[in-house]
Amino acid sequence: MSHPHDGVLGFSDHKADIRLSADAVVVGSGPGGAVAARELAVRGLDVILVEEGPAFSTADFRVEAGATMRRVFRESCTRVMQGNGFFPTMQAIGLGGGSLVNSAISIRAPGWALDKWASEHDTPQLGAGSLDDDYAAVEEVFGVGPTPDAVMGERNLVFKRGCDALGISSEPTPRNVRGCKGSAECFTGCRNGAKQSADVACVPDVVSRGGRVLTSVRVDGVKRDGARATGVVGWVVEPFTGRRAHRVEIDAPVVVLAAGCMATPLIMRRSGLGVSNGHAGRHLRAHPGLAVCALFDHVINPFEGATQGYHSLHFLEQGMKLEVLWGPPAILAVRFPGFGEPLKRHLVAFDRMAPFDVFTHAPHSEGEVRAAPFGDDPVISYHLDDRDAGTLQRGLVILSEIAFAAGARAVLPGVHGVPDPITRDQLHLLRDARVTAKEVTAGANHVFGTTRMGQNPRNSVCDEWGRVHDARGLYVADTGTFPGSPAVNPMLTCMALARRTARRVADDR
Amino acid sequence: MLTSIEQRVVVAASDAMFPRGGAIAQSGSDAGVLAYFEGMLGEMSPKNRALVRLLLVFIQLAPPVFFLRAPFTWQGDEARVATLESLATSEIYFLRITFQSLRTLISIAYLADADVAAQVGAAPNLSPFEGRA
Ligand SMILES: Cc1cc2nc3c(=O)[nH]c(=O)nc-3n(C[C@H](O)[C@H](O)[C@H](O)COP(=O)(O)OP(=O)(O)OC[C@H]3O[C@@H](n4cnc5c(N)ncnc54)[C@H](O)[C@@H]3O)c2cc1C
Ligand code: SF4
Repeated sequence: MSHPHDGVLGFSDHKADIRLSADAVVVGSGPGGAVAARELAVRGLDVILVEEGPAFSTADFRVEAGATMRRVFRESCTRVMQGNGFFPTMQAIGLGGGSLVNSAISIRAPGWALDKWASEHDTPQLGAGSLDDDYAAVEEVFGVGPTPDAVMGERNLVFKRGCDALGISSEPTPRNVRGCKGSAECFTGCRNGAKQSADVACVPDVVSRGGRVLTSVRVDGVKRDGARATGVVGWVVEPFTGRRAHRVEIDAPVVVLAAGCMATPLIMRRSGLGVSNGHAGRHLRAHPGLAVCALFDHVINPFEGATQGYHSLHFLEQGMKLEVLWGPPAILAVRFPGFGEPLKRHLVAFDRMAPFDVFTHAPHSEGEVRAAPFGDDPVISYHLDDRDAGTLQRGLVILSEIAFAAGARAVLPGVHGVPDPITRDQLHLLRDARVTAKEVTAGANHVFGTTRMGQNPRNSVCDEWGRVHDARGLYVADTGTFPGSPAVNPMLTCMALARRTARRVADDR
Repeated sequence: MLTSIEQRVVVAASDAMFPRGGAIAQSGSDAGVLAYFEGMLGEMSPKNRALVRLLLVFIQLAPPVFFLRAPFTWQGDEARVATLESLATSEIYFLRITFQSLRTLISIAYLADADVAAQVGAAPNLSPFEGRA
């Protein structure tokens, strides 16, 4: 049987400086870049897809959390956005980008969220319904469907029961998987090969249509002739060390940047393209999130069941999405309070615990990504507005109510100044607490907006088709293009927009 | 890779966070936290390595600077526990974040030990629902 990475070139294949040309070069193989490359290849363009990280196959995945964090994530997973607090944020480095390690939640942005983009951010062509065809196409390619009951497990079902008891709507999460076995290992990579990450769902189609896929190639800049992009330059880099080995130069009349919203604006700044109005890198938006750990008397065995198999969209228009959470126990243990024997007791009671999370669209919070004075990693700032922290606090209260309705005896809210754990009778302590960025550790893996779309070239970086305003032949196809929050998990919207952009590239030729 | 003083901080902190006995038999030392740290640093970029080492130095020096206590590794077991408690519950946000960072790294190292992971119940199972009705 063929392997999804057949034909993909890796570090050991690059033996000398590389000089290539193509119709189009796509930088970054995450959900955005891989979809764009696939669509371009399907439409007959000669495409080169370059990815800084290596390809990870099922045999390469390690269940040990720390090993995954150091091998598959940028900055060994220590990346933080800094502002009025520290906000951990994770970006993957590998063929498939974030889809390699994410929970595979694939959900369309609600029409009202897209209408909000249109009205508030000057993207009238992106209103409700405008992405339906692109959504349907990527759902097909990625095998998106609701999580089946057979692989739910008690961790997901207990959330559903709690929601049902309170009259809160909830549903099985739609996910991009084929034959998910509910092993709950999405974060460390699907060893079952069930997750349809971008390297599995798109890369084989790129290769089979004659496209070239180069991993371990880091793009440093876009080549230009005046305001026209003419290709990219960079280096072959050794996996895990980043050591530069050979020069890379690729000529192409079309350059699609999809290096993720933290990297794309920096490539643009280094290249002097798309930066004339100073907006590239600004307007970083995120979905900060928090979790409660619900403690039950009965066995949950949270180690099994689809990673995030159930969610609730009930409070979406109030700014929050509720989900069942899962990740490696070593990472979730960070949410347990204290240390010493009390911490050990929490650890051995892991099998009776279920973590639930809330994230907010955080409409009042914003940040920026800038180049560091030295080194390749960006400097990322973010300010979590008190109003958005308040929304998270409300979310924690609702999650706790769901847990109690499902029979939890206590919850760990993880808020400085609020006892850990609290019982149902003590919920008012969480409700009445003062919660700002500093009382919690809010993480945000949904990040977007740094090269936002808009019709006005004075306050946006690209148009509604991902074409960079002040450059020709240069497009963006990652979450950086989002003008605002999609209200839900961003991957499917990123892929739909990337497909739309690729259609435009083909039409523009 | 770590200096001897940094090694002592790792051992002291991991044994204060995970003392021997109780709900899980192994201490931080028993679970090989120090060896894990050395391996981890070897796999990190120079920048991240420097940050982790800075964290360890900070833990060593925070007690005299913030709590008028002896440096962390000079303290006895009870005083170390008290120091960690002070960091964890401090009104100074940065100290709480420092504690969390240290605890995160040590927890990851502790749970990387197969025996500890087994006691937590986290045995990998690729197909947990196979054969169930
Ligand atoms: C742990 C985790 C769980 C998540 N769960 C979900 C979920 O369930 N559902 C959901 O919708 N979203 C989820 N997300 C978010 C989602 O994964 C991201 O929004 C998505 O991956 C963004 O896609 P992207 O193409 O914009 O960027 P990325 O996925 O970040 O891809 C960018 C790619 O470009 C490469 N690159 C960067 N710089 C260069 C360069 N200079 N040269 C060459 N290549 C470069 C990177 O290595 C990377 O592979 C999760 C994220 C994380 C981290
Ligand atoms: S839950 Fe397990 S089988 Fe399902 S996609 Fe995630 S890692 Fe793969």
